[in-house]
Amino acid sequence: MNFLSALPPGWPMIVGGVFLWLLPKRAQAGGALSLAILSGLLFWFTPVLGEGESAKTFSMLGAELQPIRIDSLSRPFGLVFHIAAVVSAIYALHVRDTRQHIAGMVYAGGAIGACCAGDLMTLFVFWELTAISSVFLVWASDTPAAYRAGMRYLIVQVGSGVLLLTGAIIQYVETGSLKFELFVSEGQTLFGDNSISPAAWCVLFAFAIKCAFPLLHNWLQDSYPKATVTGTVFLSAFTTKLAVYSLARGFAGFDPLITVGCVMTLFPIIFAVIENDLRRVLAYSLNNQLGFMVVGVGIGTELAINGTVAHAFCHIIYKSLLFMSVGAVLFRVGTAKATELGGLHKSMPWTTAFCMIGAGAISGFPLLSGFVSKSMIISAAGEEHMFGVWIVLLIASAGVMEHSGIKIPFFAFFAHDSGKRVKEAPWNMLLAMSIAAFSCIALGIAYPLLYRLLPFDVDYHPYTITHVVTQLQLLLFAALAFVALMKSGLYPAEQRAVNLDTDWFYRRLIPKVTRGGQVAIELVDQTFRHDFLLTLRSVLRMIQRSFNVNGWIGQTWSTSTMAFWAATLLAISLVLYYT
Amino acid sequence: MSHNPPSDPSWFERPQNIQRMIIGLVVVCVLLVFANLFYENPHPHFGKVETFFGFQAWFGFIAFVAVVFLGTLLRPLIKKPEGYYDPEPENEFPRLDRPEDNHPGDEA
Repeated sequence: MNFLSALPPGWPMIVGGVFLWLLPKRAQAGGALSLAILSGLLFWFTPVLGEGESAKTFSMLGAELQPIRIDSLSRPFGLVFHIAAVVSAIYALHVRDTRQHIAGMVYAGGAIGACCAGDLMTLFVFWELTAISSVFLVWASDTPAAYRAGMRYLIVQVGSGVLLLTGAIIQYVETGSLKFELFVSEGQTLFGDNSISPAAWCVLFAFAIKCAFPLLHNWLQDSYPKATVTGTVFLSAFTTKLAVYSLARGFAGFDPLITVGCVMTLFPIIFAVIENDLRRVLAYSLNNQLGFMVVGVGIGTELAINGTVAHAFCHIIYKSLLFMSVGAVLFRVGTAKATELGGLHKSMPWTTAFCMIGAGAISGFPLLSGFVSKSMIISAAGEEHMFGVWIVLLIASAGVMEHSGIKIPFFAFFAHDSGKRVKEAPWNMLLAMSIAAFSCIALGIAYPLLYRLLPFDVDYHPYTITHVVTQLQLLLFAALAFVALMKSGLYPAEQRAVNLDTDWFYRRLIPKVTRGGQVAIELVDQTFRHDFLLTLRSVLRMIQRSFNVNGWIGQTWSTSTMAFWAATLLAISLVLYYT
Repeated sequence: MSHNPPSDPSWFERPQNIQRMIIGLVVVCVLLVFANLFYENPHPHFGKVETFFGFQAWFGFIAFVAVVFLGTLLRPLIKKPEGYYDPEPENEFPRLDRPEDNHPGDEA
C-alpha cells in the first residue's frame, strides 16, 4: 500500500493506458473505462492534506521534490478530472482505435498528476505529458488539415512547457526551492519597481499559453474542432482547466489577471456569433468561460477563488456535455456546420434534450450548475466594488446566452429543417451525455455538495429571490432580443466561411514574409553560386591541363633539367639553413 | 441518413406553436420585470445601478443586441472563403469512428 500511495494520482491511467494495445481491439475501450474508474476510486480514498500539513518530499539531484500534494485546492480538480475521464471514456466506448484510447488515458492521467504536483519539476513533467499525449487526439482525425493543426498545437504546447521549465530553473537558482506556491505578493505588478520576478514572468507566460489568454488563444480554436468526435471531449476537459488550477495556485490575487480575464470573456463571444462550425463556436465559448475563471483568480478573495474552483468544476461537465452533443451530431450527420444542420430534434430527441440542459447550465439558468458557480465570481467582483468588472461579466453572461445558450441548440436541432434524417446517437454516447446532464442538474440543485469540496469555507447562498429574478431577467430578455432580431431579420445569417483569427499571423503572414526573404536569399545564392562554380571549374580545368601527360608539370622532363632543379633546391635549402 | 423533404412539421415547427412560445416568453419577461416591485435587493453592491427598475432586464436585452451587431460588423473584416487555408475539400471531415466504417488495419 505504501508503494501505491507513493505513485502520483492518475497513475493507473498513465501506466495502464500505455499497455492498452496489448488488449484485443474490441476490449480496449472497456479497458480504458475500467482504468479511469479504478484511478477515480483510488483518488477518492487518497487522504487529503489538512490545514498546515505539508506533503511528503524527497530529494533528487539535490532538489527537494514533492510529487504528490492533494489539498483542498487540488482535490476538486482531481475529482472533476476523474469524472471527465470516466464520462469521456463511456462516450468513446464504440471507438476501435488504439491510438485514441491510449492518448485519452495518458492525457487524463497526466492532467491529474499535474494538478496534484507539489513542485515545479513534477508539474513540468506532467505538463509536457499532457501536451504530447493530447496531440494524438487531433492527429487521429487522419486528415492533412488535422495533421497540420496538430503540429501547430504541439509547438505551442511544448513551447509553454519549455517556458515553465525555464521559470522553474530560474526560481531554483534564485531561491533554492522548486516548491510550487504563490509567485506573487500583495500589490505586485507586471512592470515597475514592485514587479514580479523573472521566474514568475516565465511561469505566468507558460500558464497564459495553456489558459488561452487573449492573443495566445488561437491554438484552441484551431485544433479542437479538428480532433475526432471523441477526442474533442477529452481535450475540452483537461488542458485549459489545468492552467486555471495552476493560475489559482501560483497567481491568486494578481491584479492584472482581472483585466486579462475581462478581455477574455468578451472577445470570443463576438467571434462566436459569426462562426459557422459549431465545434469552433464551442471552442470560443470555452475561451469565454475561462475568462470568468481568470477574473476569479485575479480578484483572489476567498469567495472569488471558491467561485473559480466551483466554476471550473461545473464547466468541465457542461462543456463536455455540449461537445458530446455536437459530437453526436457530427458522428451521425457527418458535419457540425450550422449551415448544413437544422431540424435534428425530430431524429435526435435525446441528444437535443441533453444539449439544451448543457446550454442552460452554461448560460446559468437557475437549478442548473452554471448558476451556482458563475454567480460566485460575479458576486466576488461586486463585493470588491469593481463596477467595471461586474458590468463586463454581465455583458459576457448575455453573450454566453447568445452563443451557447441559443445558437448551438437552435441551429443544430431547430431553425429551418435541413431535411436530414439520421439515427439517434449510439447508446454509449447517450449514456455519457445523460450522466453529464444529470450532474449539471444535481450540481445546480444540491449545490452544498459542490460547495463542500471548495478550498475555503463557503458562506454563499445562490438561491436568493434577488439573484434568481435578476438572472432570469438577464437571460430571458436576452432570449427576447434573439426573438426580436430573428423576427426583424437582423440576426446575421449563417454563412459558409472561414473566419480569420490570430492564427492568420502564423499560418499566412509569417510564411508569406519568410517566403519573400527566401526568394531574395535564393536570388543572391544563385548568382554567387554560379560565378563561384564557374571560377572553380576553370581552376580545375587549368590544373587538369597542367598535370596530364601533355601538361607542363605532367610531361617527361630531360635529365639535365631535373639535375638543374635539384641543384637549385639544394642551394635554396642551404641558404635557408645557414641564415 | 436519408433526406426527406421537410414536409412533416413537428410540434416545434408549427407556426401557431412558435407564436405561443414567443407569447409565453413575452409574458414571463413582463412578469419578471413586475417582480421587481415586490421585493427589495437586500445587499446591492452598486446601489444606484443595481436597484434601478428592471436593470438586468434591459441590460440583458441591450447587451445581446450589441454583441450580435458587433459580430455582424466584424464579419466583413475577417470572413474568407472556406478553402482559404485548406483548399482540398476532403480535408474537412474528421475520421468519425463509426462502427460501420472500416479503416485499414483496424481488424484485430
